[in-house]
Amino acid sequence: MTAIEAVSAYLPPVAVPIEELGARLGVDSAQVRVFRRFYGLAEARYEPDGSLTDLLLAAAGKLSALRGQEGRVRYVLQARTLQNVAPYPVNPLHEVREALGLRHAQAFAVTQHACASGLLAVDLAGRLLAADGDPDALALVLTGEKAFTPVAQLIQNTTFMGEGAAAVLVRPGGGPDRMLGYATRTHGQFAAALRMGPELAAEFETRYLDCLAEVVLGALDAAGLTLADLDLVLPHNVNRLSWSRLCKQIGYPVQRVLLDNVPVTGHCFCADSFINYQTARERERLAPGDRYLMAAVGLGATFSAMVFEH
Amino acid sequence: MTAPEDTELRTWLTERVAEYLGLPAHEIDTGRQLADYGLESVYALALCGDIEDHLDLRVEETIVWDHPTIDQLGAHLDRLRAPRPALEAG
Repeated sequence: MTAIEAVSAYLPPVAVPIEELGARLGVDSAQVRVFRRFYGLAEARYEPDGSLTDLLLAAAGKLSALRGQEGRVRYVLQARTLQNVAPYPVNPLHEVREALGLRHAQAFAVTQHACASGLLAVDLAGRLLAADGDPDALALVLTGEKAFTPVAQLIQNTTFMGEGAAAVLVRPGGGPDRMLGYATRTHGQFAAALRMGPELAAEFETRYLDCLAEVVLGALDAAGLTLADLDLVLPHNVNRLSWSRLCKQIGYPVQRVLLDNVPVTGHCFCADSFINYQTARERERLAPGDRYLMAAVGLGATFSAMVFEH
Repeated sequence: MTAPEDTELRTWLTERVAEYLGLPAHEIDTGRQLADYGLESVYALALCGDIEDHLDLRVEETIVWDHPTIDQLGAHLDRLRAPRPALEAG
């Protein structure tokens, strides 16, 4: 069994309105208007003078549960969407591992599910810890990326990307915030991702809700639960519309999807659900025993959902 | 089934859809689903924004999916705009 020991999120200080982002990235005003009015987007957060190392350290530095427990950490996983984030031999993951006093831990990146790699990393971390058999061991999952090129700043017709980050401490075993179920499915026909032609892009758009519904219901089924048992959804922050449409399709109240951060952060790659977890805790949206679901979609395309009990 | 009565609203909707699709208005079948024309969702929503401006009312963000043809959309908007019956005096 896998459980979340702690989560800390970091939102960079610079909030850029989407009108400014649209002007910079050549997005027409009709689209930007749609993004604000119907997608619920308003701003995205950036750290213009900060590196990827700075972002990840800012998140991990807030992880009070890590302090004094560094010796228990066996693995550091960086979940990221972008395959290449620094020129060789620069290695932000190794820099972060060193700065956190975790040189003894094995470190590697998880990218194969794109923006759904955060959930994959949590699952992988739990499996590695379980295989090691040490109930006191921990793993650190780092999420968040620099939107350092125009390609990394915009998903056409969909959202703007932000630079929020989150650090997740994972432990083996049960207890609070234990994972009850995980469902993931990769649809390889969409492997071209941002380079899909118009026909495939249209097919992806048509199938999106069904694919997301499949893993949401699949994760609940794996957990032995139904929608009626689900207290809260911690979604990706891509936009509000995808969630309102999904909720209508599956018959789940959209009020139970934490969409507070959609107008604040932009879509922060693999970090969204973990950022939303911290918000849920701060706003007392989770009570002991509540069942909550994290969901993510990665271009290429992978749909994933993970159910926990708080 | 007879075709729905052509209204000013349906004409306007047809012209807006035609503009987003880059087609002449007379080639738009008002009974055909907008998704079948390949109208991208972001432009379907831009149409919603146009509707809000044109009719001075706020529409639900899922309206284009709930009423996927121009005929259905027009009928729904007609219902939204219909004057409510006056309450009887007590």
